[in-house]
Amino acid sequence: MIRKIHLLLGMFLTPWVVMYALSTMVMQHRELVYGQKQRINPEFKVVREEPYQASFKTGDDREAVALQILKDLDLEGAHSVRGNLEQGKLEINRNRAIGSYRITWEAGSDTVKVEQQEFGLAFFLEILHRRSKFNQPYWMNDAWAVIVDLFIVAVLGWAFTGLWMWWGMKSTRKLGGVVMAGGILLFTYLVMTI
Amino acid sequence: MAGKYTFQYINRRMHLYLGMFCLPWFIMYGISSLAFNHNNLFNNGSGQPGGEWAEVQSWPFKVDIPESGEIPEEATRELIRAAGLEAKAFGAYRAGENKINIYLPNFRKMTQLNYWTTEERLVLLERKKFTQQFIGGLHARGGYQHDSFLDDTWAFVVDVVCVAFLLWVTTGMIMWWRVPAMRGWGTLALVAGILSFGSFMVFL
Repeated sequence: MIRKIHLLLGMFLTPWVVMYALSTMVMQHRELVYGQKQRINPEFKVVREEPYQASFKTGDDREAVALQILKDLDLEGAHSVRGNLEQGKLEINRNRAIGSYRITWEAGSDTVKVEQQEFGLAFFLEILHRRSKFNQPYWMNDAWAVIVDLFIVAVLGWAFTGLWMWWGMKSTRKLGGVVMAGGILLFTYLVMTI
Repeated sequence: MAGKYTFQYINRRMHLYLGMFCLPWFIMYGISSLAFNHNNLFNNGSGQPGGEWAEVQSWPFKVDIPESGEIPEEATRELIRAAGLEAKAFGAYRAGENKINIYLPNFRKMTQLNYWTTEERLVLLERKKFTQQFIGGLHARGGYQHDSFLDDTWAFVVDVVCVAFLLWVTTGMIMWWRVPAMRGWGTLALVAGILSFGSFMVFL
């Protein structure tokens, strides 16, 4: 039973395992990947400018306004908002896994500008790696966060079921113990010194 | 004896021993990810790790830093020396129009420097409460950008853990394929995982 759980969890979570491994390598080797120390965010390109008549007032809740704009454009989903109605400008970032949108609304204008971010593999991996939390009012976002929790449980589960299976094989106990002790010692030493 | 070292034998042992060596990092990444996915549960729901930064000391200090672009490493070193600190691992970024933030990653002590360019003032800050920051620091630490052998060792092990993740997938699949009874269930789980992941890429 333990072997089956260990295996099937691994099979289901294979895409996440690969994604977390590759994205960590990208973050570790940014100079190699991007040619500089900082991440390069792909450009946004205008995809459309839509007529948009709205009667938002100074003092309206900007989050409610952003939700309304996203709903009207059929782009509902995880997002963040910059700017405010007092300034007369809102910039809504509709954060998607592939090709995020940036929507700009300006008071006095009768259109909204919709831009989409170009695809960049390294950027895509970094953004996926960082995506987590139950902080958006959308079930899809929560579902991703649930998978992240499942991944955490699986990681700990793989560790403990792996230990269990190792202990069951007498022939590997000694060498496995030495290798594990080496890892623990190195980890402890580094945490105590850097 | 020579017949013992078959491909399957090496495959199984690699799967096992890689796991045994990386175990502390494996458990650390598992536990620390919880703090990222549920950061609203920490620090009275503020989501901010490690409590407030408190000023410890400040000095008037002048150092040449360009108004924009990357902060020169030598200028950062000069500020660290001026604060009487010794740090091999550090980084600097612009935290505002007139503010340079110098972070000093250290697992045991939370300090940072702020340099206010217009006031020409250097400030040393500390965080007293840093349990969550410690956990987050373990998770986020990496890269070969510091001039320190031990920091490079940590970064190297992070690379080893990444390679181990990829090898567990391949060695695990090889072992799975050799168990005919599990092929159906394994395929189902793998396809379900790929479809779920693909759906997230489209609809998230």
